[in-house]
Amino acid sequence: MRKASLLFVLLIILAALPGISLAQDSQTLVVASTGDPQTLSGLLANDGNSIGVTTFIFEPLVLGGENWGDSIEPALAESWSVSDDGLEYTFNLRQDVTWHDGTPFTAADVLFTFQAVLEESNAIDWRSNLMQDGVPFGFEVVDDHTFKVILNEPDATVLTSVGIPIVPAHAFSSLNVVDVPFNTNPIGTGPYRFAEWNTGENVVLEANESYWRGAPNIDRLVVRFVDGAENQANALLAGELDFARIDGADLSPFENNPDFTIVRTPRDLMRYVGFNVLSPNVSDPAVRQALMTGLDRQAIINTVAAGNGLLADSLFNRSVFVYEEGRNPQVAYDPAAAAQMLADAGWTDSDGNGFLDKDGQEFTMKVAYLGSWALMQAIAPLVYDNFRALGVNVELVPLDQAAANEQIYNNTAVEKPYDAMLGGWGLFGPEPDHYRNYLANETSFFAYANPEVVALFQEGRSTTDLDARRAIYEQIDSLLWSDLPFIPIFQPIGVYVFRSDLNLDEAQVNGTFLTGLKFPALAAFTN
Amino acid sequence: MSQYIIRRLVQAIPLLFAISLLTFAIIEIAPGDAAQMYIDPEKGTDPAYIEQVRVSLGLDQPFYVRYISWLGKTLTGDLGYSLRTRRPVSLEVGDRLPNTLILGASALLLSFVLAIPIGVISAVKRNTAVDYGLSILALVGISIPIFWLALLLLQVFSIQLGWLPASGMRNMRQELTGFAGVIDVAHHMVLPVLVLSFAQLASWSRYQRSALIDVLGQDYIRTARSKGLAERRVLTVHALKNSLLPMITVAAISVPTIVMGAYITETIFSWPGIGRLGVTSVAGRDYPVIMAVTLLSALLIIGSNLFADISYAWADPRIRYDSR
Repeated sequence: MRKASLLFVLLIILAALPGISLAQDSQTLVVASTGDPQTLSGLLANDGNSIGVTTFIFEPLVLGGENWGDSIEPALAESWSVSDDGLEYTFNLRQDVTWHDGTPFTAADVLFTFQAVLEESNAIDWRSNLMQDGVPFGFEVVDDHTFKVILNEPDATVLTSVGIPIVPAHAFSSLNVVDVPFNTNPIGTGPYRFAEWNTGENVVLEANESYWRGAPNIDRLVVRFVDGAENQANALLAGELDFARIDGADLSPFENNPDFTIVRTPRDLMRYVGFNVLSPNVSDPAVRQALMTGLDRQAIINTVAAGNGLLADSLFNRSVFVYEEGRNPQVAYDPAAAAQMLADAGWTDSDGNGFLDKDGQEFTMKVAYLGSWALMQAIAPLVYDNFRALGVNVELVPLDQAAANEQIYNNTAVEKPYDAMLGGWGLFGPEPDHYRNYLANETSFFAYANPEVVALFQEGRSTTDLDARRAIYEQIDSLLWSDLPFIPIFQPIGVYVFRSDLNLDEAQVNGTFLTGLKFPALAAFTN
Repeated sequence: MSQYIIRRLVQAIPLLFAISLLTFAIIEIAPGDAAQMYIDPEKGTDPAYIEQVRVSLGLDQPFYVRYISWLGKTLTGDLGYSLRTRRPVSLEVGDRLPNTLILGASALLLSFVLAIPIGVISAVKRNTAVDYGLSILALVGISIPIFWLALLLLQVFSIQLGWLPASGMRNMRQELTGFAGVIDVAHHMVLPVLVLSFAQLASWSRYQRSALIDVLGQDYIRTARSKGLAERRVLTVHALKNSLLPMITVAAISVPTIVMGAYITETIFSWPGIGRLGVTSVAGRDYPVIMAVTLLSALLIIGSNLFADISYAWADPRIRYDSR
């Protein structure tokens, strides 16, 4: 007993000695993630921790779809053409791509992936991407490196819809992709191949030497799990992480610190106050405009995001291809003007109780939100104060996850149990049609289905000429800006901190990618 | 004695059964289910998709059907699959358990090794400046919040001095094997073990102090002294041994707290232990994993209590359970 404990104390002292510092291997890049992925299969990954790993392993035919960045660029398909009637998309696949196990990548893999996605029992989130009005797309393998997507009616969103990570057909024995060993031992075509997953610790990836963009400069990529921005900041300072997004953490140790580089880049996300446009008190667009004028959105950015946010001037996120800063007139915070606008719309405090009323009805507003989401919790009181100051009798309704799913997120009834809600969404990518489900759909959060907007979205989807599409979506953008089914507050800015000797000039830090690294293969340490 | 052990073990069976039913029911009553892990609140999610997920996870089955099916499988040794990761629960727990045990065991050992001498010194130097100093230290130790101490040590030893790692249990830039690997893990263990030991150390040294003071007042100590034995011998041979008796109980009862209660320490130091797994599973309503972790901690509590009783009887011949 005594000997053992002595040995232990000795070991502790030995371990504490600063002399035993280990040689640093500059060819390993350690990036942060908050926890274990749920799956390593690109097809099933639907949470940030999983996508943060699978994005290094898998690739889609075309970049620019949801989770795949903000521009349409060739990936596994090097080019594509559309038939004159707009019904056939022919993808020419790269011929120099092999799977991580050495098998050549062919059109059969694309067909298998799309069939697996359509298989209902797999419950894959991408399924609706490959359907038109409930009918699946048609597929045709023309030859090993030519793949056709056949539509029932013209659809301009195909390029982003097919942005699904492609999996190798030969790794599966059936269309069941859920309960298979592949999901913990994935094979992809991406810049990094899977090496090991130490649960609770990290996922280790190794460079794919035969990657078609060129072998990655960094041999080993470790995605390690450190929960919480402050803990990630500490690990960065201690040299145990090389790259992390730490918005929310104290940045002062990194500022004016030559060892670290801070990059701020907008994320494809939006925080907003949504209206139930069928609720009588907020059904008038003029009232919704007044509320936006009376909401100090910049103060919200400063308070909840430490200033790391872009004041929105569109209901679309900036990554949407028609977005243009300043096209819509920005709405400045002006409570006096807001009060006047409300009065013009007929809302006055006729009984002197401090709250506005119209035709004997008091202006009450039930604001529902996911109370367990800290960000919404922070935004809620600011919205309350601003609207209350205008004379609106606001009631905050924080909901737990299950209730929020029932009343907001999964609620497909047209009648909503709230007048307004707080939310955040994004990663829609450059394709504005991805907003259609929310902005032209009476069962969505806002119960909003302005016939003009619905018709324009329909037209935009079936128009293939880019300039014509641009005109349509610009029109939608202006319509939404005056109609305001929701008040867009801000797009968050991601704060990425990484070691200064990491050369990311070419690789770019890309805010729309969950990992923050657009082409990780191009990153390198300079010393 | 063996009869007593068997009786205790048999008594544990309905207890475990009740715990499992209660835990299952609590998860059921809590809002939300595991399908929520498949919803990203920052993205819109198709309700039909959520329904598909629910069906594929078996969550569309009623409560009793799922409980009975879980119970049946568990009794045959099949802990099922995590609803979150779809990996076998035995793997999820098995991967983490050794990491937590090595941390907990080291903390236990360190607390013991340090608490006893501190307690002895306090008792021997009772009501002197040394005793008061140690008492104040113990008070501070008990009062300091664990996370604060952890962040303080981390700031000083990892970030300012750079002597010790701030997170994880291994160097992730290099694969270290053999002795270098052992040293690497030990190096990473220093801070979390110190933090975990600290609260125990403070209270245990107080227990040791009062136990020894108690023993030193006994008649047989006076006899030993009157025989002319050296004070040192009185202390080490006669008094210390007997004063250690209550410490067995204190230590054994603390085992579950140290092993299962390391969540904060594990999170701050990114230690891949079972505490973090448990909390993640609860947040995700991942009932197969929650059940496994809960039953594990129940077993640990029952086991360490039994161990305390048995070792007590072994150490103190006056205690016999079978006669009851």
